[in-house]
Amino acid sequence: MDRIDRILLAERELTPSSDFASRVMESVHAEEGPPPIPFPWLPFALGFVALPALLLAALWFGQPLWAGLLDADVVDPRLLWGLALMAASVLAGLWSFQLVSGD
Amino acid sequence: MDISEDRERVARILAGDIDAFSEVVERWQTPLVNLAFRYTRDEGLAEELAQDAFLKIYRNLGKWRGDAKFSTWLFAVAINVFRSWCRRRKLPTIPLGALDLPAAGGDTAALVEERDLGERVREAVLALPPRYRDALILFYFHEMDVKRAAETLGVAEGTLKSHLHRGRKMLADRLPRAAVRPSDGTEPGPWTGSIEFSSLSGS
Repeated sequence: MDRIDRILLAERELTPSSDFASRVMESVHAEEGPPPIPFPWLPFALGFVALPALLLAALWFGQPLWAGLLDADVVDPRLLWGLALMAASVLAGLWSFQLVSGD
Repeated sequence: MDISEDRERVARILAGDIDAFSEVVERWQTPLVNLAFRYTRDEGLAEELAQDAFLKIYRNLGKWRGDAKFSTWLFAVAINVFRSWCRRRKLPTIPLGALDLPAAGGDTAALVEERDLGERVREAVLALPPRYRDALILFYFHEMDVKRAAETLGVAEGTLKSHLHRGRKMLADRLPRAAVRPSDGTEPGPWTGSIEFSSLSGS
């Protein structure tokens, strides 16, 4: 151990003042509510990508079914997009409720 | 303190038991104030900075995943607060060449000068580039435990050793040869740059 080691190792030990902890807790209590839980970015990103992909796949492969249900030779794409957007909105809303409720 | 106890405590705080955070403060106030002091060299400022660090720790409690030791994460958050403070303060570069170091001696005047020298060396550490400064501060704070210091800084042990080596070299290169006079009174040779790291068990 050289002189630099001895100097830098020999730091005097401070004792926090007696009201330090209470001051910290005062500032903590001044925060509104408990600490925030970080937003679940990974599940959100996966869902953001997976959901439209699944919807598009369902629309593409289910086209004959839609065509049959609507009694037309060719399904109007605008109708499909409209239904897809409605379904996505409903699902997004349900998922948001689930995230907020913490289930 | 057991990591499962830390997890349980953090879970309680996140669930709304804010007063449980006082257990964290009671347990870590002394180390955090002392670490802050190594950056500020002022006791009052050290407490202020440590208080800011605790507040940041509280706000970011949800980010502790429980995989690393709570103390490691806590010190890492605190170090970021201290670094930000240093950047805002724009600490001046102290001319290390101005350090006039006395030879090690036994009389009272020499002891007083030695104490004064110690403070100037510590202030000189603060004038180093941040990565060398932080490496030196954490290394000696953790009682020369390379592993713990590296974990706190979030760097590999090899990286920490490199920063320590360069930081110490910058200090030693600017100190008069008398600064590294061995205790047996022989003339010092050039600083070899070799450092033996001991891994003492940390607190």
